[in-house]
Amino acid sequence: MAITRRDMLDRSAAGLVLASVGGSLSWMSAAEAKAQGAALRILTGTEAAWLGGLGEAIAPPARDAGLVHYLDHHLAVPPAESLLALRYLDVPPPYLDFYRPALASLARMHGAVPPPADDARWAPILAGLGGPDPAGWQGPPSGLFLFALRLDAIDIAYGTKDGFARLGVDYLAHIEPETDW
Amino acid sequence: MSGPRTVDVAIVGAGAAGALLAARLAEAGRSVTVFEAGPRWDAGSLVSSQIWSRRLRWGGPHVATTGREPIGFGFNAGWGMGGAALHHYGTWPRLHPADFSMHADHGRGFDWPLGYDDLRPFYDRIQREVGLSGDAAAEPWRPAGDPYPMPPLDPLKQGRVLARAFAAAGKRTSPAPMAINSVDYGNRPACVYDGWCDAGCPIMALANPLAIFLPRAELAGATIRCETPVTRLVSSRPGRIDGVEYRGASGARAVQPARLVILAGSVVGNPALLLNSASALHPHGVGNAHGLVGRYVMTHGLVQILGLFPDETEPHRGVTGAHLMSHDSYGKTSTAGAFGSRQWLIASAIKPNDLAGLAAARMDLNGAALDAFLQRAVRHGANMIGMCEEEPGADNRVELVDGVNGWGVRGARLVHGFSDDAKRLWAAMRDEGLAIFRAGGATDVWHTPMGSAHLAGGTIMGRTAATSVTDSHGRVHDIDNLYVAGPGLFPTEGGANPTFTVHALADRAADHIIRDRAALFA
Repeated sequence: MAITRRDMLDRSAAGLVLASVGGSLSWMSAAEAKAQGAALRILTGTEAAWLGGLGEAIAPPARDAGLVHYLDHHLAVPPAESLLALRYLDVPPPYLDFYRPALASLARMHGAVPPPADDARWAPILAGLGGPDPAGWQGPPSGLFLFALRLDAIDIAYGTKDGFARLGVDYLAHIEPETDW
Repeated sequence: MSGPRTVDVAIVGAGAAGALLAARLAEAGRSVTVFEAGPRWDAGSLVSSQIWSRRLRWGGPHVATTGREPIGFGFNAGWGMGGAALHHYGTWPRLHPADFSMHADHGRGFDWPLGYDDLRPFYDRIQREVGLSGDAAAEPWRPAGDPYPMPPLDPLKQGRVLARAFAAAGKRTSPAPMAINSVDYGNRPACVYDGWCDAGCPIMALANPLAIFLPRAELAGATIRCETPVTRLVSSRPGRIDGVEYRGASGARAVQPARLVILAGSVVGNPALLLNSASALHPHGVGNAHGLVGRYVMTHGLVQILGLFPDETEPHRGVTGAHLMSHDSYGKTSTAGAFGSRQWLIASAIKPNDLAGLAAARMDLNGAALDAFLQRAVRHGANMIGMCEEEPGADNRVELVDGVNGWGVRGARLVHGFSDDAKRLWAAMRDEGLAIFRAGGATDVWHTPMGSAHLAGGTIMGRTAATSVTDSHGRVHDIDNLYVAGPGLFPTEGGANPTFTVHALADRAADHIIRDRAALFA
């Protein structure tokens, strides 16, 4: 399918991500992309596994809400169209160069397959990221990486219409996003 | 073959100052072209979402932020029509008279080349034109000025809880002066307290540039060229600017000749453009004969105090700026062991997510604990912002870096560190805020690390070319037809939000240009 820049802007603004299911590109919410097992455009399987695991360990609804596909999409678009919290933090684009080495460090230090949800190993992993760079760490400062990913995970878990509903508060939109992430 | 038509006025930047100047000058019959680097936004673009609101933040070539305590440029700056004012919160206190005379009063910082009395008529006029809500009689610290044309916003549940906390701590509050309609005003509707100001107000209850001055500018015939960054000022003779060089959609550069050029970009953008315009006539950059362009950048040291209260607060409702304020400790020497003005902005609407959201500063909570915390915080959370003045320091600066950026010019770097005095002022504010929340019965209290809000300086105004970049109207010293507008002009920043003062200064400059500079357009 032909993707124009205007299309990219409009669809992204509506909360949709461009995802590939069965070899066909289409726009869908990040949660739908996750549920349908849409192919990732940028992230590798190991990177996706670590992002999903970390996101869920920080904010439990984040993985099912589509954190991985949300990040995959917004790492693929031009920086001025990205909605990642990283945009606030004065990190130079491309933003993939921020996430990729950090995820590689995690895989190198803890293995390619992250612990399952609710595993006791998550607490020391998160605590280690929040302090000085762990031994063997390469990439952006681990604390900054954790802070940015934490903002992403909380965005997707609690900052959407679905997220507000999970918390039991009104979203109160003037102009509603067409769909949840 | 004829070149492009010369316009009366070329304005660089369609933010708060550029929008006002474009409207005033176009309505006075001048031909005006505004160059805006970012995209065109309209009301329908302003989706209610903290996530989406990031589109309104800087999206141009990367600005490196360095120094001991870097300033958050990406968070503070704007991108596209409306600039930073499109996502600003509409909190519009006036500067105090003492903010204009720091050096005369204390031997520190600088004096402004004008006083509060010079600016007051413009504060009053803008307030009538834009519409401010507030209660002047309830602000014991308020400088002389006309009463607000609208009653104050409702403090809502969060405001009532925090007003009691201040009272319990022996501190005074007042309704915050807000450029947000509390009732229908000027063909714009009243606020409905949905708390999405940060994402841009599509109903135009908040006076952002899309609500008032940009439509008026276009109605009066001004042309606004979006996605058209200006890359250089063109100058072929001493004391004059011929026009602006800009980068079109194809990437090709062209020159727009202009009789008057006004730089109304950001605190980073204006000095970067002046420095990038170095030539044989201006070997150190335009307006930079004394090495002052880019110097004396300031920000407000920021602390956010958050807590959980037994009463229900509904913190997601309201306005993002503040429902209440306190200037009880605004005096420059009112804080023991520190120097500078400071203010509390109280009961801001706050959502679960985002940089200033309920969860951001709770790095200690993960998983089920975070979920349980948010379930409670969205009902019982409250917050307020402490804002501390920073004295101007020459080492806090905008400078160019080596290599060219995506616009084909040298990129910019913002270097910043807080002084020890600024850190003491911030620490006093933090401690006071924590004590206020505890006095109010908060059961759990936390705060953010020292952050920053707002940008000022970099092209400061003053009385002489040896000590400043521009005169009191923003005219660049020794250049007849080049002006600067915006918070970059501030020689000191005070402890209050800058946008009302940005408007008042721009209004004063517009009056001056229309009244005193007609010869420029002859």
